[in-house]
Amino acid sequence: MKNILEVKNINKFYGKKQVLEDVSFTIHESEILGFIGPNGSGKTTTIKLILGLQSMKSGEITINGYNIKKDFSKAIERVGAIVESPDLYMYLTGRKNLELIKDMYKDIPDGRVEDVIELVGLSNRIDDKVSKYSLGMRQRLGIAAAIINKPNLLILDEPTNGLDPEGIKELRDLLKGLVKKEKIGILISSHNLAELDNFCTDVCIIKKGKILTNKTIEDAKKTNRESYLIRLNKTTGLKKILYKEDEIVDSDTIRVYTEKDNINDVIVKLIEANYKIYGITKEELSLEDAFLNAAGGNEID
Amino acid sequence: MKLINLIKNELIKIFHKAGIYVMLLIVVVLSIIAVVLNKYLSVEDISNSFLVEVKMEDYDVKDPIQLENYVADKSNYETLKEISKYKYESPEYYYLDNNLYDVIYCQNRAKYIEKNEKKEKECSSEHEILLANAKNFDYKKVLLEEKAELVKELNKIGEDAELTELDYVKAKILVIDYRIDNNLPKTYTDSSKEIESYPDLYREYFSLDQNDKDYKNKEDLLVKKEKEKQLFEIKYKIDNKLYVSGKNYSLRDSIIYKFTTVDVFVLITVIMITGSILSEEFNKGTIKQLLVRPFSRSKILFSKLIASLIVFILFLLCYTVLDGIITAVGLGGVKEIFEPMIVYNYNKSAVVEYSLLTYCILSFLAILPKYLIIILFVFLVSIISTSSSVSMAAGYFLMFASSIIDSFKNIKIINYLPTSVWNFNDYLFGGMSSNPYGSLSSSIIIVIITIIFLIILSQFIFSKKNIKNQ
Ligand SMILES: Nc1ncnc2c1ncn2[C@@H]1O[C@H](COP(=O)(O)OP(=O)(O)O)[C@@H](O)[C@H]1O
Ligand SMILES: [Mg+2]
Repeated sequence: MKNILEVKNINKFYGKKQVLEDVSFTIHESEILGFIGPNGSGKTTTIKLILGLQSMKSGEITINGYNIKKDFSKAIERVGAIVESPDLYMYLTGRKNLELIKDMYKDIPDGRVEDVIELVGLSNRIDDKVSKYSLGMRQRLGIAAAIINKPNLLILDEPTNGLDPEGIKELRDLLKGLVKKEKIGILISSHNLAELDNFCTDVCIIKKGKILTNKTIEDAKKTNRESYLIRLNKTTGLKKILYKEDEIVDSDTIRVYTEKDNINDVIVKLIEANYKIYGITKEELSLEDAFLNAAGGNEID
Repeated sequence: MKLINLIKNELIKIFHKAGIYVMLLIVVVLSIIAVVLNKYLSVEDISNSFLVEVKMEDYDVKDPIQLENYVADKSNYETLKEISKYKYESPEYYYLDNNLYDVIYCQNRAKYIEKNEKKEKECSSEHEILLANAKNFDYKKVLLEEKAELVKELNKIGEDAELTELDYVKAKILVIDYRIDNNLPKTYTDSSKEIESYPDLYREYFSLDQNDKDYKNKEDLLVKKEKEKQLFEIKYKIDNKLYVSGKNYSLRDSIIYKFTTVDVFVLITVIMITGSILSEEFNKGTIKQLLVRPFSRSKILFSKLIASLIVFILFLLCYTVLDGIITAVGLGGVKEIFEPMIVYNYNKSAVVEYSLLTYCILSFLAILPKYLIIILFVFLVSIISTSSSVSMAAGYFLMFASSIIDSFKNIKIINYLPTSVWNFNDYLFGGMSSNPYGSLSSSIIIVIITIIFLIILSQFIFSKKNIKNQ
């Protein structure tokens, strides 16, 4: 797979204070990288470095093979971004905002503005001034603005900020559609792990300017053993049947850690000991759980 | 082609904001007020409406000094009351203003101080004659009388008088002849005042040392040159019969003014636009959207600078046109803008004619360095401070500081500051610098270096600028 974004060992200081330490990660085609960290951990700073909005002490950033420092125009040509908040001209209409951006690229077909308006679902209000838009509409216009140049790298800095759960879901669907339609890579930052669950293909956790873990969701989940919840008629006298790490959750439920192939053995043992089995569910590990584990069980926030 | 798109975008943003339209509105309202005041109210009307009657009770007339005061004030009051029946720019006003006070004073003095009835009657009848003259005013008769007096004086001086004295009287006669031939009564209009000043200018100029090399002090030379210019321009106009009655230069003056001076409204607008075109984007965060496009930062900066300059020129032109229309409608003078401008050229020692358009373009180029340096300075401050108000304040400060600095011309260094040489108007049409150490070439060099320095520094700082986190 092609590397779209490569961040290599970047270090950034504000005065004497180091805010980024050897930060590295990569985004490939069709990858959605969740960039997770608490407030003040350095997400926005990293994104600004990627976009050439700030200078760094050392490190190297390449986008589509072009170095952001040496080849800025080429590197940035196929990037779309929202940093901190959608930066729109409030005194202009939504359409005028998009047209201004369109005019800064060559070879964008005329129909593109209409297409992106359609895509983000703003057709009804596009000729209103942005100052009259709701926060969610501004966010959507921001995304329209970020994708107007058909980027293959989309960078979104906390795009869910200020959105209600409905808005967050809409945003996810929009982005999923984008990834499916155009082979783009997305870097999406958030301080809230749960929001990006079931959505990212990769996750990178940053804390105090350092990358804690960086792997695919699959890998992250795999490092944890599977678990099953079993509902029984009673939970007394189970000590000799279960293994040490297995848990009694309450008076009728137990949690068993075991592989798929061994679950039969556990059930047979329970039946032989005269327990009645009412139900078995495989426990899905959430992204949050996976990373709390990966980060050594520490709280992320 | 892409830079043009950037500039176009900047212009779209500026023209979608209220600022520039508010300024145009202010300018229009002010120029309407100015025209209305000019048409219906003169300064004299206003001051005459404050005339207070002079009453004897207010003076201690037993005291001879107070009595003198009373007589003088009363005469003044009666004169103004009589004169204010005529329009300020009319020949009658001029005539009475120059003759009436003396007879009224004579009359009052005879009555209250000298108690000489006979004299009072004499003066009173003279008073009546003056008023009657004014009523059926025949300016030619008055001018001819004046000329007869002058001819008498000329004969009395004779050949033994000093040459300049003789020429002075001859110049006065020349002016009167010119007035009679061209229907130009004496009035308080600009052109009449200009012709009237000719004999005095003539005498003053020729009493000065004619050789420029003899002047050790530049200030003295400047005085001489200034008189030379005035004298030869007036002479040229008299010789070519360019002073004609019924001319109205209101419109022409309103146009010329915009291009020969750094106009305060243009300057306020320019500082407002330049001070906010960048800093507003920093404050609102939109600068990020601008910088993540496939352009170098210097192109972004350059497009904003060019856009500011375009708005500046457009505003100046709109202002000139709007004010011109208002002036033309209110005060007239359209025909006169097609007349050539008469300008004395020191290098050629001759008067040259320019069309109004050429004259305005040349004058504008001469003050352009001043506008440019202010614009670039405001721009630089806005890059450093990212604050509109700080950068606008810096622009006004520069204006203010430059006029203070200007008053220290005798300190040598100060004459080499950009703010001392940024207005080339003095040099125009072969003129000379009012700056004791300046020359045109040194001024151009200083201005160019300043402009290049400001541009390079702005580019450098902007290209290194980190966009801070919110
Ligand atoms: N201009 C600045 N000067 C000094 N420190 C700063 C500045 N901007 C950000 N920081 C610090 O850098 C760190 C990272 O900030 P940021 O990248 O905004 O975090 P995040 O986006 O993850 O919330 C924070 O600790 C913040 O206090
Ligand atoms: Mg942030």
